[in-house]
Parts: sequence; structure tokens; C-alpha cells
Amino acid sequence: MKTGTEKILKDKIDSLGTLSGGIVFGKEEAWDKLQTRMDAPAKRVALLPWFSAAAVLLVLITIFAVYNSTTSNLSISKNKIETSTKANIPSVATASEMPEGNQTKNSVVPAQPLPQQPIAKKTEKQIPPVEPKVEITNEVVAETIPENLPVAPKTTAITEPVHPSKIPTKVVHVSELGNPAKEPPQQTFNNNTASVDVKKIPVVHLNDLTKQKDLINQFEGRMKDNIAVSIPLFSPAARYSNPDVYNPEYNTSRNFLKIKIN
Amino acid sequence: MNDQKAIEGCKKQDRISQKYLFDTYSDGMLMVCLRYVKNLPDAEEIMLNGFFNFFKTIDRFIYNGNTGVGGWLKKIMVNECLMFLRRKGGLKIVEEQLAAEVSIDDGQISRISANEIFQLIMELPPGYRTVFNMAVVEEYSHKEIAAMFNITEGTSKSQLSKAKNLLQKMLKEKKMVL
Repeated sequence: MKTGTEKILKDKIDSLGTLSGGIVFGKEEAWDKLQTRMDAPAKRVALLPWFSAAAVLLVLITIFAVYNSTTSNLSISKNKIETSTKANIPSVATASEMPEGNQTKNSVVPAQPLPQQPIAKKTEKQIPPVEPKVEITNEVVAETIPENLPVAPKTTAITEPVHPSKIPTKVVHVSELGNPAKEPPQQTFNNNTASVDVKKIPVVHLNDLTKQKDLINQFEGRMKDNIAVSIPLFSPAARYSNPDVYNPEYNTSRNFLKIKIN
Repeated sequence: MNDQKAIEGCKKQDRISQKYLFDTYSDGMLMVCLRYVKNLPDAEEIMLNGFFNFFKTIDRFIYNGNTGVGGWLKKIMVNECLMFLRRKGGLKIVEEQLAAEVSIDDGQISRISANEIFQLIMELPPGYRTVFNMAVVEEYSHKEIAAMFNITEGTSKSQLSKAKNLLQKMLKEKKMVL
């Protein structure tokens, strides 16, 4: 509740609608200031197109920069993918290395070495091929050929299957063999680690072996000692089976392989 | 031109109408601002801010008579002054116990001129002055003042009471009252 004093004070203060003495107020200057402030938003509107243009330009530059960075990243990743795929492709044998049945035009692309690739370096550091312990000589020797036995015609060339783990042997016809006495001396097998001189073993036809028991015993003894083994050429089953077991079914064969055992 | 036409013109951003309202109410509004901030340049700046906001928000103003424009403008000015005082940190009202009110003879008060009363109010400390202005001149309730300044109603009453005591003391010192 307002007291009387408060009412009087309020009325007196409210009556001060005009400036009291001593207070100088430049009304026109204040109005000019106010007008300037009120016109300021119009100037802001005039600046709006410039700001919007600058914003659009900024957005375009940003998009361009982002696009460029994305493209470069894509190209880098593409290169990486190509490198990895190239590195993962195993080296393919050339057309000359392929079997005859598989040789087609443009079917096989020869593997190209990739420069500066870690995988390519790995291929360079391949493990050296292991020297086969069993060397099969290309000599087919028939020491004694009985005259009464029919001579195999030349057309009956030996086409025995080649075991993948074995080196293919050169097939020579019996008739091409000369006198065993004139045979060149056996070459000695020299390796870095060891050299083994294989004694020259007389090769005897099985027909003759059946007639001479002593020779048979000698042959079997040599087989047991793993010094040398003579295997009939026309019996592949017997050839890859246990060489210590003598199979009389393959007595008809006349040719033998001489195998060196290191 | 009257206030109603000026308001309509201001809604159309008519500069002449705006000038008319400014010329009519600027002196009174400057006195309102001076009651709160005491400093003339600050009061002038606050008054210009108040008129600027008034012209900006004039679309929301509904004319209800000649007193409506002055009242609307006064509210805007008081709010601007309070915002200014808050920004400046000059509006710190501490919690105080209610002081014993000293009665002033109404007859003696009525003999004092408005200008003299105005000068006395200007000499009050900012806290007392603000509460006195809001409670006595602007007729805010103590509840409203307490809510505005985040103080209790008791503190608002205490501030007003102390402001009155100080005014009486000043009146006695200047030998305006017996």
C-alpha cells in the first residue's frame, strides 16, 4: 500500500517530463545517431550478397579440396590393390614350359617380374632345387644279347610313363648300343658335399642269370648291399617297387637301367 | 499528427512518424534513464537503445490511448537501464534487515520542487536508488522487485526503507524539511 509521501514523490517525479535545469541534451544529434543505427540493417542487407557469394566460393573450394583428396586417396588405394593382386598372382609357366596339350594361343601370359615388390624379392630368393639323390643314367646297356632272341623293332620305342619326381630318361634302342667293352668310362659324381665313385658293374641279361647261379647270387648280393640295382626297363611296376625283391616275371626283358646310389 | 497516427506511420517505417514520437518522448525518457544510471552520456545511450528497440518491435504494439505509448516506452527504458546496470556490475543489493521507517511529513514534501526531489534521488546509492525508483515511481511490488534482482521481499522492503531514511536525512541536511 502506497503511503501519502510516496504518492507525492511519484507525482512530482512523473511531472519531470522535460529536462530539469542544468541538463543539456542535444536532441537532433541523438536523432541522427538513432537514424544511423536504424539505417545500419539496410547496409547489412546490402552486404548480404557479398557474404553469400563468399560463402558459396568457400563451399566450392572446400568441395574441390575434398574431391581432390578423395581422388588421390582412391588412386593410391587402386595402386595398392593392383600391387597386392600382382603380388598374389603366382608365376605362371610360359607357353614353352607348358605341356603340349595345354598350349594355346594367348592362353597363358608369362609372369613378369614386378619391380620393387616385396613378393618379387621373395621369388628371387627361392630355395635352390634339391639335388636328386638318385641319378638315373641315360645309358641303356645290354651287355650280352643272345642271337636267338627276337630283336625289338625300331617302331617299338619305349614309351614308359615318366614319374613326376624322376628326371625323364633318354630312351635308346638296344640295337644302338655298341660293344660294352667300348663303353666310355663312368663319370664320377662330384657334389659339393661328397663325391662317390661308383664302381662299374657288369650288366648281365637275366636269361643268362638264370643259367648261372653264381651270377644270380652275386646280383642279389649287390642288391642287398645297395651298391647297385639293375631294373628291367619293360617292367615299370617292378621298377618302382621294392628293388630288393627279384621278380622272375620280368625276365624276358633284355635291357636294364644302371642306377647310381649316392 | 497524434500518437495514434505516428504509431501507424512507425509500423510502415515512416521516418517522420518516428521523429515525431522521438521528439515527444525523448526528454521524459532521458529523465527516466538518468534516474537509474545518473550519468548523462550513459543515459543518452540507453535512451537511444530503448527507442531503437521500440521502433523495431512497434508491430507488436497495440495503441490503447495516449498513455499507452509513454508507458510502453518507459517499460522499455527501465529494462534497458537494469540491463545496463547488470552489465556494469553496479546493481549489487545485499541482504539486509528491515530498518525502522521514518515518517516524513507530507506537507513538507509537497513544498519541495520536483527538480529538487530528482536531485536528491540521484544522490542515493545505486541499490537504494534502483529499488526506490522501481517501488515508488514505477510502482513495482516488492515481490516483483525481489524476483527481478533475485533477492527476498524483505530485502527489497529494507532497501526501500533505507532509501527513504537517507532521503529524509538529506532533506534535513539541506534544511528542506524541519
